Amino acid sequence: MADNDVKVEAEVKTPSKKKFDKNSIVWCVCILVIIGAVAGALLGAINVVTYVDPDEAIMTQITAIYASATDIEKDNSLAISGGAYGSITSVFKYKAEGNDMFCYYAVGRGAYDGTIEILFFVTSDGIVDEVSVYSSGETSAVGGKVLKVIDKIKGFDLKTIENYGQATSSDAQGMAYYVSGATVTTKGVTNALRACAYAFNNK
Amino acid sequence: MGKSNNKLGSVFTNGIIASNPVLKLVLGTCPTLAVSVSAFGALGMGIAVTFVLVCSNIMISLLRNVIPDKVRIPAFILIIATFVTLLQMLLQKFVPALYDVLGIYLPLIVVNCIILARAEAFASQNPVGDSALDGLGMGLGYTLAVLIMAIIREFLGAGSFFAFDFMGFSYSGEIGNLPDYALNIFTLPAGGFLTFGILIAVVNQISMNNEEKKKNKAKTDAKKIEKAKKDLDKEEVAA
Repeated sequence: MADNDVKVEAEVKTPSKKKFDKNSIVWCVCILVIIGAVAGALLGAINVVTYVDPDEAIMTQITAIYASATDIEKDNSLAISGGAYGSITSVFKYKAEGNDMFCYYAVGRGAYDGTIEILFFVTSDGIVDEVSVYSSGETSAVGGKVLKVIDKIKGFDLKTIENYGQATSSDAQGMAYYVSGATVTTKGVTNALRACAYAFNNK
Repeated sequence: MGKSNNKLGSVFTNGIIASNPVLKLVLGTCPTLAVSVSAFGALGMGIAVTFVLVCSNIMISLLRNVIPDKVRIPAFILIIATFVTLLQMLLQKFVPALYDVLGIYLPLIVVNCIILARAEAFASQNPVGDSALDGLGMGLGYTLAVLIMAIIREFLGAGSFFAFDFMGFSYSGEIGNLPDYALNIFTLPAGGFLTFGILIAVVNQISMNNEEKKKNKAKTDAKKIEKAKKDLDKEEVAA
């Protein structure tokens, strides 16, 4: 009988433990907010030191590739984005050895890491003169192989591109820089190239 | 003092040998298989994981009495993510070559189960010094395991040893005509699993042999003690 009484008491007591403890909830939220705020402040401070202005970085790349580059200026009226799978973040105009040149900062979607950012250095005739990967999160073992052979885009005529839609696997496999096993990265690069072609052909 | 040093020593070596996170506990397998294609990338990943492990263990240990039990996992993730983001920003700015090699696996350190497991199992229950040593030991254990795997895979799969292209210095690492005879499967996921399995088997065999030796030694010691006792009893009877 005594044992039964103890059990009943335990059963009655159990639900009271599950009651909301407002103080504990507030304390939990406060702790998370404090940790988040300190982390945010720390990362903000580090960001001040490590931040690289994209425009400055692109201008540095232009002068690194074309030592004789002059009249470098940003002209975002040329940054025309037309497709859902690639876009142009910014465009720079400059002169190299007396010729008008353009640098398109293109973002191609659908890569392994989501997006891949590429700089296309294009002549006034629409020929890709140089190409450089600005930023990517592709793995070195797979997608990195495409980025190593991306120079094969050099000499490509942007005027020949008419399809500005999302690059398919068969589109990617037809490109000179296609690497077997890295179709997804190749599609991302192709989407960036198509975005660049759209901006150039519609300027 | 001696006992305290022994304890600290065992906390440190535990992660390297006895409880190696990769080869014994089989934690963090996904990034291990992914980055163990080149020794350079593996070393970079090992250093990155060690940095995050030590920093997060220290911070979690410092806050262990403040963080409420109910929200400990989100709090741990927040702390780990902070250190990973910090590392990512620093690498992108100062060591872009390594940042490119690690690629998507660098931000994924946030969800590396080795780090969360050590935070939950050790750092949240132990003092700062022990937690830092545990993080360092586990990090070095991870680095050692992933580096051994990468050296084997790079040698067999690419015919090179420690090839790198880092801050203007590059080394092809190619050994004679070996790249012509390289077995490409070792650079693919299948080769990763194969190497991983063989390494685990070798490590298990070595630890089984060691345990057998310890048992045999304990048995012979026990026999010696028993014999000595019997001799002593005989001497007492004779006396």
